[in-house]
Amino acid sequence: MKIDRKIVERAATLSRIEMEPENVEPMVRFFRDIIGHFKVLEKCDTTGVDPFSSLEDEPCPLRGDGPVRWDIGDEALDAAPHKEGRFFQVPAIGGEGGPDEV
Amino acid sequence: MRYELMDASSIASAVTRGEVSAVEAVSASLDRIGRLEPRLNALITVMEERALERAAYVDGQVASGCDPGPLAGVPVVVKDNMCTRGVRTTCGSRILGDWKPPYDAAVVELFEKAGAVIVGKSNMDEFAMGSSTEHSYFGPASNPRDISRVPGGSSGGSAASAAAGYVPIALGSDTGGSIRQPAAFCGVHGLKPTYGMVSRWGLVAFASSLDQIGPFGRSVGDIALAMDVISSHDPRDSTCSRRERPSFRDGASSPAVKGMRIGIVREFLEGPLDPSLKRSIEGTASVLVSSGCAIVEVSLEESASFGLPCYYIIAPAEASSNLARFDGVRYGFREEAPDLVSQFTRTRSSGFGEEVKRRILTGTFVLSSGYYDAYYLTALKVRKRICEEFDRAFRSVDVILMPVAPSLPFRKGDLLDDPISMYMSDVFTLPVNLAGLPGMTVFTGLEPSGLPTSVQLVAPRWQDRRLIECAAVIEERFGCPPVAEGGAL
Repeated sequence: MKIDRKIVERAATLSRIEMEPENVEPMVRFFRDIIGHFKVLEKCDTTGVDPFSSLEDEPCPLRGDGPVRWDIGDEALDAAPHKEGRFFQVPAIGGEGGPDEV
Repeated sequence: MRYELMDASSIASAVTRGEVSAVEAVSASLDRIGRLEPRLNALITVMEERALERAAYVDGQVASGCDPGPLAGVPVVVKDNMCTRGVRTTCGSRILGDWKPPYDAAVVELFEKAGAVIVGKSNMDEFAMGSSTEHSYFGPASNPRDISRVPGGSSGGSAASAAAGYVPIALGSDTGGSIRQPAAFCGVHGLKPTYGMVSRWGLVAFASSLDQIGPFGRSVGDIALAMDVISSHDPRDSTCSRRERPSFRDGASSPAVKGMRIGIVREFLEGPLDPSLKRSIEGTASVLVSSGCAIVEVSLEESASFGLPCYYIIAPAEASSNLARFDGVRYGFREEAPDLVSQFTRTRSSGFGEEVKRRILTGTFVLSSGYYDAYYLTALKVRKRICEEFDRAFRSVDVILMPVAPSLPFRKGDLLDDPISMYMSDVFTLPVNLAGLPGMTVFTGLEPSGLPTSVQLVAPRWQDRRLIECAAVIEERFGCPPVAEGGAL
């Protein structure tokens, strides 16, 4: 597989991270190095191994199926960069018509 | 009274008996922090006001005849990825630079309930991604044994705080070695418990299948004391086990190591390893043999060969998912933009540092369509193989003795531009996280250069107490880690 700018830029777009032009090539080199290290895993015999087994032999506990009162809504909202009433405030998805509420 | 030389149980006993006040002990800690912090930068936030209030509360409990708890008046430091209500919790990142959580982490609650007084939030690699505490938005921390060197990471600030005598006990988190490696670099003890032993409620997640909280300390007794306080079931963390916990303090005071089989890992001694660290392994093996243990050679070939690449697929994959929440909407830093997607992108691009971006991009890549099976799924299978390999090894031994890191603490800046070499620093610690095992760094001495040496002990899952017992025997021979002072600082 060829590791090039396109692969790095795609990962950046999916990550919602903008790469400065001067940082793309160093990231491409890093990708080549680290993915080169990943190749060694091909030597491990994983035939028949279940990848989704748990480390723990206890079953994962489930929460009760009922409403839980959460009393720190105001404090949580206070941490928001912008809020309006009981809502977080963000710009419109399409960039028009002012801020949207989510 | 030189509080910086005292262990936690001595301070707590003196406070409980009314011989000294918690305010006095905490003030001494704050004074030392004030004197040394300009050189160490081990703390992101000093919690002077809250600490003195808490100390006065503990003194009030003593005065009224209430039991103030086993950590009464003991100053402690917690890593800055553990939530503290109303006190900023930055994770060493610009993106959370001013965030004040509306609740305390479970370990913070447990420490304060036990009478401990949190004096500061420690410096760390951003979101715990790093091995040197150089990747902090708040500047690098220094190693108190030699301030030209790194304290290790990512919990470098917590390790430095314990080594410098700010506090007898500090808490860190360990995803791939982030307690054990800085403990080794700063010359203190550090324990990463079994996955599921300690609640992670209120720990900002890096890689959820690997993260675990544990203590640093300058005596095995203090590590045991901290473990007795923080290890309990918590229904708020679904991965926190309901199993009964042993008494760690009993393990420290009455270590029963006679007859234990200690495994030495051939592969880990054949690769690059500083000669002083190899000598530490040999010296520690001799101590354990003279205490009635038997040495058995074991092989961890797959862990040695595949641990590092396996970890650097799984941890970034989980990180890329966990860190998706930082988008400037609900908390933390926001870069304004005219539309929502641009706001996400600008906020994340200027809010995260370079190492975090590297890991998010790597994680996104290995999870993305077309590469998921080849990398992420394969790594999960290899992880299972590594778990099975440890299980096989533990059929013939009770504890494994191995190095913590390949080198003594390196100089600041030496590996900053070489991320892969930096990752190699965790080659001996991260297989332990992959397998969910408990691992402990035990101090074994200071070299003539003043730099510390240590060994790593690893036990089967839920056998953390064995580590404490072996560590107590090793400490009896090599002594407790001394407080760093004098020329080094």
